[in-house]
Amino acid sequence: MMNERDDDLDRLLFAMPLEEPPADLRASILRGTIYRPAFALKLWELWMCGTFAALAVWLAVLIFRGGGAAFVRTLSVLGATVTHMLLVQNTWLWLAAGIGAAFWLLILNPTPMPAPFFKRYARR
Amino acid sequence: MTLRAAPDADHQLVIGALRGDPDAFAALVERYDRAVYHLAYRTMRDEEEAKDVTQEAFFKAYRSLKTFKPGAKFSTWIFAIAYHACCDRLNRRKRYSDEELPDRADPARGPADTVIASDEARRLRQAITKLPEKYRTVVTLYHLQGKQYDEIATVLGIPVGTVKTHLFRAKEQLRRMLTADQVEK
Repeated sequence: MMNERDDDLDRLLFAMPLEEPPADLRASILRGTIYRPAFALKLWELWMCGTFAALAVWLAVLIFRGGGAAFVRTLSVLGATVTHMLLVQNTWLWLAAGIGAAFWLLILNPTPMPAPFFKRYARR
Repeated sequence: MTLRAAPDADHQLVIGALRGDPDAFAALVERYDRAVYHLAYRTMRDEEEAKDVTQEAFFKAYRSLKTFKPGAKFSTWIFAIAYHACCDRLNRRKRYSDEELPDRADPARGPADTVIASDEARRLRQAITKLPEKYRTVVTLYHLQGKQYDEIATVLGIPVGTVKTHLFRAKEQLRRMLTADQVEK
């Protein structure tokens, strides 16, 4: 008796049609996913833009606050520091050692790159 | 109305979407948008919110398709995303409203009105609308996924035993409401 009632209710439930979604629902989902225009910039490009923008703001603040003199002084200090760094032999030695190490690590690295999800999956 | 889409076909579509095939994702949307909307509408009892939840669920699924586990079922995954979105919105509703929320579902004015084929179905819809939220969602998922209790449990994040208990109580309440409705008539 109980099962019969249960079956009746199940029959009613499973026969019930789904709600009719708004007409534009599917189109709006597709517009927001596959038809969404790809973002023009890559992440590293965004970082570059952000860095340049920050530098530009910093320079503008320096110029407007110090009437240009502080800006020139900062630039000359920066220039002098960089020149001094480049004139020291150790700087070049460390640079060469770093680049060399990076190069050899790149060549000798035995760790395989992880396969993308779909390749791993497609093998099954 | 239970969803009987082949999981293998869904997996192929997911793989296609991950490879960048837009048609594959469009096919997944076509396959599940109505069911997800149904779940959202039954849970939220509001057309606009159900639409927003459905969109949100598919946007989220599209963004995090890479995290979809190969052994899982796409239907379970997308229902779980939609259900969580519903829970977030319901919590927000409760937070901003001290008084009990009005029962906004009015089957006579809802989207269902256009497709209700029979008086039985209409009465059943009304009865489901009157169920408490936890029972309503279990019944809706049971309606969508059939007797796959473990899938329902995964979507809701509750034990299978609780699903069965909720379903049993929900059916009891539904039966009582339908009988009372018949007696009134």
